[in-house]
Order: sequence, then C-alpha cells, then structure tokens
Amino acid sequence: MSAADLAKAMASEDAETRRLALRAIAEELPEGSAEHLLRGLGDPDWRVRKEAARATAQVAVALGMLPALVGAIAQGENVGLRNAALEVVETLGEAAEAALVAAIPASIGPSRKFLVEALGGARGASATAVLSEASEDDDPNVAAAALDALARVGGPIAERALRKRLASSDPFQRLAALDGLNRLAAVVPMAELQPLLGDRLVRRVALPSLGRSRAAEAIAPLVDALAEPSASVIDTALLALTRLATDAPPLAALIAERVSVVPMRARAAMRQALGEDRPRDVRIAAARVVALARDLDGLAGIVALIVDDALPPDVLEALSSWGEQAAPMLLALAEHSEGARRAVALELAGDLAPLDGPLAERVRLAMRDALRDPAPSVAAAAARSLARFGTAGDVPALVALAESAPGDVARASGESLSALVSRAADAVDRAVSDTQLAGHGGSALVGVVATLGGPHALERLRAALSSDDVATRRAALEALAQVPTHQAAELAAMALADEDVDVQTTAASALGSMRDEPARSVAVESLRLALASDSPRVQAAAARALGVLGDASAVESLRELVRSRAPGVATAALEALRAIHDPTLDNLLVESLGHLDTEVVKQALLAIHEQGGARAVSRLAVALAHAHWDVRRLAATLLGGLGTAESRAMLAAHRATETDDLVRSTIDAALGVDTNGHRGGERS
Amino acid sequence: MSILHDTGPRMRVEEFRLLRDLVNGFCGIAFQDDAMFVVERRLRERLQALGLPDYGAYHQFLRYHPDARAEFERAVDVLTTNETYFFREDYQLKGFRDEVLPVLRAQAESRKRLVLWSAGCSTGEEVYTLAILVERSGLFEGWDVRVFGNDISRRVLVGARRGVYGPSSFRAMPPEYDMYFVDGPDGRQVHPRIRAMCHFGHLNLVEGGRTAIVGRVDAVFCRNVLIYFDSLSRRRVIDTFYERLHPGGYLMLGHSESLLNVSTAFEVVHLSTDLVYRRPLATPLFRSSKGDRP
Repeated sequence: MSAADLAKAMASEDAETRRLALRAIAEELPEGSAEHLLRGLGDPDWRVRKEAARATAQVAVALGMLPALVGAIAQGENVGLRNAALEVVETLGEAAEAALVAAIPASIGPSRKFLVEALGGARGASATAVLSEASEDDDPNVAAAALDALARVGGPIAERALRKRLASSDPFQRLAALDGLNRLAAVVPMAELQPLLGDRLVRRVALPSLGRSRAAEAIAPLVDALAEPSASVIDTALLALTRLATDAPPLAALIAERVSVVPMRARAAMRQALGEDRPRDVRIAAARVVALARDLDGLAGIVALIVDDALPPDVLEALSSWGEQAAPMLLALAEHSEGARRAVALELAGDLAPLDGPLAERVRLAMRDALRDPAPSVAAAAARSLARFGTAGDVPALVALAESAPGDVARASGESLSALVSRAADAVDRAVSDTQLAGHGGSALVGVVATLGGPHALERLRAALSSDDVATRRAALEALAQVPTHQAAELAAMALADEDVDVQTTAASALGSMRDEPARSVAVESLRLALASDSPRVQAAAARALGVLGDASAVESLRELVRSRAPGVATAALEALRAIHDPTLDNLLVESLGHLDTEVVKQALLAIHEQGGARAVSRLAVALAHAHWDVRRLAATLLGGLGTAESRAMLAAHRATETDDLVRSTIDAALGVDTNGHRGGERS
Repeated sequence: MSILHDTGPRMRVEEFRLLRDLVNGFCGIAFQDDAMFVVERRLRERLQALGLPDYGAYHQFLRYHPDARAEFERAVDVLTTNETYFFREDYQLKGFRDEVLPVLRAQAESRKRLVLWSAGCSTGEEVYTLAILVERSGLFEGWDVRVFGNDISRRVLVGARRGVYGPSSFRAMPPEYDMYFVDGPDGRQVHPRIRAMCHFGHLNLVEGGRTAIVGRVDAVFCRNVLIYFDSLSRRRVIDTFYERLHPGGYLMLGHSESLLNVSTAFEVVHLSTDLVYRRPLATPLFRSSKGDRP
C-alpha cells in the first residue's frame, strides 16, 4: 500500500476501510504510518481504534512513537485515544516504562493520574519505586491511581507500599490499599487488619484478607458477616471462611464450632447461598461451611451440588463425619425428589446410616423400593447400597436386574451380589445357578460366579466364554483371573484367538494375573505367541502381561517390540522390560530417549532411573530440555529422587528457564523450596 | 463404590493435565485446574465402560486406540453439560424477533431463503425455538427457511432429532407457543411442521473446514458455548462464523460472552433489549494479505 493509498483510506468515511488500512500498515510501513496510527488510536469507531492499537504495538518502538503515546495518555479530551494508547503501552510493557517514568515528574493533575495508571499497565520492574512514591502524592486521585497501579504490578515492594497505606488517615486510601492487596492475594498480618475491622467503609473489603490471614482471630468477624443483610457480603464471607479452612486446616474445627451456633439469620443465609441461582464457587463455599456446621436443612443444596459433580472431595469428607443423624433427612429428601437427586440422597443415606437397628431397616426398605424406580440412576444407587444393607431376601431382585437392566444398574447389581456372597452365599448360589450366563446379561453375573467359587465355577465361566456378547466374554475372562488354575489359563489362552480384539486384550491381561504354576507356564507360552499378533493392542497387552509375570524368556521378543512403529507397543514393551529388570537395556534406553512419542520416552526415563549408576543423572537431565512438559516433569521428579548434589544442581539450573508451573513446582519440591523459589524459612 | 466411600481410581494431577490437553486439542474445550475432581468423576463412567483400571490407561486409550476418536466424543459428551431449554435468554430472542428478523427479511429478499445456525445446539431446544419464532413472525411465508443445529455429541443429536421433551425443557416458554407442540406418551413433541424446518448435524466447531457444509447463513446463535473454549479455539470458532455469515448477518452470543479480545471484524449492534454482533455490510476498499478475516 502506498502512502497515498493509506492517506485516502484513512480519510474514508467507512470505518471498515480505515480498519483494514491500519491492519496493512504493520506489514508495509508506508510513509506517514506513525501519524495515521495515532489518528487511528483516536478514531471514533472502536474497531478502528482496536486495530490501531494492535498495529501500533508492533511498530511503536521502531517508529519512535513512545513520546506521542505518552502525550496521548496525558491528554484529557479524547477518551478513546487515551484508552487505545493505554492498551498499546500495556502490550509494550517494559519497553514503554522509561518514557512514562520520565514524563511523570513534570505532569500535574489528571495528566499525572493517567500516566501513573499507564505505568501500572506497563508492569515494568522499576515501576514500583515511582509508584510507591506516587501513592503518597498530595493529590488524592494520583495517590489512588498509584495504589491501583501497584496492585497491577505486584511483587514484594508493591505489597510493602500497599500495606503502608493501610494506616493512612484517608479512609479511601485504606480502602484502595486493601483492595489492591486482595487483588495480589497478599497475606496481611492480623495485627494490620484488626484496626480496619471497626471501619465500616473498609470492613467488607477486609473479608477476603481475613480469609487469607491463617489466623484464628479472623474466624469471628467472618462468621459475624454471615448475618449481614447483603448477599454479596455473605458470599465473600463464605469464600473467605473456606479459604481460611483450606489454608490452615487446624482452624477447620474452630470454624465448625463457631458456625454451628450462628443465629438463625446467618444459618438461613448460608442455605440461601447454596441456591442454584448463586455462582458455583459461592455454592461450593457454602456447602463447605454447611458441612462444617452440620446443618441438616442445608442437605438439599449439598445434594444438588453432588448431582452436578461439583462438590470437592474435602467437603464430601466433612459430610461423612455427620454420621447417622443425617440419614432420616436424606431419606425424606429422596422420597420427595426424582432422578439424579433421588439417587444421590438415597446413596448418601445408605453411606451414613448404621447397618443395624430401626434406621437401617428404614434404609433397607427405601432401597428395595428404589430398585423398582424407572430412573436407572436411582435403581443403580439402590443396588449399590444393598451391597451393605441387602439380605438373602434381596438376592432374586438383584439377580433379575443383573440379567436384564441397562448397563449401570446391571453392573451395580452384580457387584452387590458379589458383596452378598459373604453374608448369603447359599441364596446367591441358588439364584445364580438358575441363570444363563451365556446370555446378554451374563456380563454382570460372571464376577459373582467367580466370587462364589466352588467346583462348578469354571464350568459356568466356560459357558460364559461361549456367549455371543462381547461384554460377557470379557467379563468371563476377568472372572477367570480370580480362579487361576491350569484349566482357567487354557481357557484364557484360547480366548487369545477370539475374533474380537477387545476380548483378546482382556484375555492377555487375565493371563498376566496367573502368577502361580501350573497356570503361569500356560500363560507365558500363550502370551509369547500373542507378542506376534497382527493387532498392536494385543501385542501391547501381551507385553504388559509378560512384564507382570516377570518372564525373562520373553526379553528378546520384547526388545524387538521396543522398536515397533506403534508407540503403544513400544511403551508397553519398555514397561515390561523394566518390570523384568532386563540388565542389557542400556543402549535401547538411550535410543528410546529420542523417540517421538512421549510415553516411550517416559518409560525409558523410568528405566534409566531404576538402573541408577553414574550416567543416570546426565541422561535424566537431558530430558529436562524435552519439548513436552510431562517428560520434563518426570525427569525432574526422578532427578529429585536421586537427591545427589549433581542432580540438585541440574534442577536448580533448569528452574530459571522452566515455563510450566507444574514442572516448576516439582523442581521446587525436589529442591525443598516454596513455589516462589525461596528456601524453607526464607521470605521476602 | 459409594459417594462417601469412594474406592474408585483417583486421577493424578499429571493425568488430569494430559487428559485435559488431549481433550483441548480435540475440540478446544478448556478445563481449569480446579475442575480436576469434576473431570475425574465424570470420566469414571468411561473407565468402567471400557474396563480400564485407571486414568493413565484411559490416556493411553485416547492416544493409541483405533477407536480413540469415537471415545473422544464420548468423553466430551460426559464432560460438558448439555442442559438447555426452550426460549432461553428470552430478552435476546425478543430483540431477534422484533428487530433482527425484519432486517434479515429485507437483506435476503432476493434470495427468498433464510438460514439460521444454532452452533452447539445440544438437545435441540434452541433450534426449534428459532424455527417457531420465524414461523410465528409471518415474515417469511413462501421462503426456504432452514434452521441448522450442530453439536459435537452424537448422543444429544439423537434426542434433538426426536424432538420430544420433558417438563424442564419448557420452564421458560410462554404459553402462547404451546400450539407448536403435540402431547405424546414420552413428553411433548415438536409439531411436524416446525421439525421439517430444522436440520441437525454432527460438527466439531474447531474443525473450521467441515463447517462449510452449513453453507452461508443469515444468523448464528452460539450461546453459552464459547465459555468452554480456550482463547485460541474461541478465535478460530469466531473466524468460522464470520466466514459462514452473509454480509450483514448477525451473531448472537450468551449473556456472559463477548468478542472482546477475540475479534474486531464484527460490528456491535444495539438492540433495544440486548447487544449483538453483525458482519459489516460494506465492501472494504482494501484487503490485507491475510484476506478479509477477523
């Protein structure tokens, strides 16, 4: 595009034409580009300004536009221009910092405020000193802008400056400083927060800081806030209490003690916060506090969260401490709800109720009733609970469901029947012996046959192996693994010739679990043949099974498979060779470190680590430069495990350049430093 | 296994990250770190169905199994919530009915064809809602009207094509639209006349090329779908919408979604009840070397 074309396009009344012209600038830089970009930053159309900001960020330094950008920020007439210039400066970051710092001393009033804001957006390393000074500016607007900017820049100096202003005589500065510290997720000592709690203006903003304080003194003001009329204050208090309990687990008991005696108003507020109209993080926080308070009336909200799979494991754990007192309420809830909610309420009642007495009987009756529920989730929940509560009388109904119900219900019924074998073996045996395992419903019952055992078990499983249903044949093979006789091994070996690959892989896995003679010999022989299968999946399953059996005679074949084109096979072969402790792996491992598939590389790293020796550290350290984070993380874990001075030095050197947070935290754990890179006890 | 005494396999943080990356690469959906336990619980049924012992084995399945693509679809199916209902976010639909449809009628007059696209349609309620609104407007009689819905989940598409819904799907529907449904033993079914206007397809929105089968459209509804995507995939999907829209065509997003930091190619249109986006009508004088793309 020529300069004339550019000028013509920028003079167009059509915003799209101006936008496309600006887009083209960065590639061609015709004469007058800087002036047109600046005009574009102040264009009346937001799309043009956005395009101008993007283009300017690419070329501002090269075209010497920084003074003009600083001027655009300092001016007070065109808000669009200022915001677009601010966006450019934020993108440029440290490159724009010097120009801004140089302009601040000579500026006054709103211009000074705008420049301070921009300096916060640039987030440069040396901005904090200038901003700290500006936070004490005589102009309250400049000081407030500096506090906000410090919160954007972050770091220890910014935190110190913000904490200093918590003691300001100006309540708005205290507010801005505390808000900034909240945004930085800074931990403010309780002694500095305490004076602010009497300040009505600041008190609400102090709630998140109290949550991070890890101090027992924070509990009372947070619990008191639950009785406030504002829903947003209650939400914040709940989130803060959750944070306190998570960051300082010993405080959970104190919080529980306190929230269990809150006034009715606060209790009602906690339940309301569980409502589906509230943000999910608030609902989860409320569930955590309700669980600590053992508030029975909050159970409906907790059940709704479990249905959504949204309740974290620690809240479930807190719930498990409620004991049987919750069971009647849950049974009532189940009675008045349907579908997934009914299923969850029932199953929770079963989890919490005792196994004997009148309450157990109520649960048992409710479960029997629910077995007939048309919703599969309810029937499956009931079947699962009957594993604990069921009696011989429940066996026929469970067998019927195992034979004919859809997937989850059948599976749950089969598992319950297996559990019932220990309490009602005769009833289960009678009921199962009348069933056709070769039919479609056999898959849920073959496990029961294996659990029952006895002289006829193998014969029955054999019948199931002839089923025309793949799931039943696979289940029969899994069951055969529980009766590892010579004959069972022969049956499983035959299944390696099944027409279905899934059945073949299941057969290989089953053979891998037959570790005792004479079944083991049959297993090894057939698995070695399976290593030559046409299917990479069967090869992989056979390799893993041979590894589990620890059969050294398969080493040569497995070594060949390490060079397989199928990465799944190569991975499995390496895994097996590791398990067998092949002493001649060395060259193969070095070769595998260069494999394109990360799983192969990871297996090689594990084997290198297991071999140990002088070369292990340098070989593992090579993998710290791997392109994939999971390989680097494993290498870091293994180097950390070696714990030698050399391995620690390798990790320390790599940490500075590591970009992945998970790998960095692994290195930190190995080096015994916290996640900010400080050694234990060291804090800025 | 029970809710409180869960003895099922646990997901390690590394497995979560590996699975998350795989799912993201497949369909652009992004999970934050705090979603690990949700992913763990929802994928557990897949482990059971496949007979796999742990999430490491599931990761290997998705990497190496010949049926991995089908399994990805099943995984996405259990990982994403599909809940929707008729006349969801009705303030936007009112704006669409009263202010957008008349504009589209004028713009498409020569074609006598109106095509609407419900991207990420789940069980189909939005598709049928749009068809009902068009039918009810009376503006397009004698036109070729098509409402196309796509989703990445084959399971929800089966339900969408069937068009039979339970009470919860009707929780926000004004009673004046009851006439477009027929009561049946399994629920209320969408009237055959409306169903005939609607089409469904199995499309992954981040696979931009395949979406060409939708053809050129007059409006795209993509509401509460982009929230699941990472920024790169979001940009890619918006690019696709831009390409598929006729000049002057509209893009409707969910109430919590915007094109901020995603695309500047669309212009903002202020309706009386909402803010929506439009592909500009004007033909640009200049094209960048990358073409007329957002």
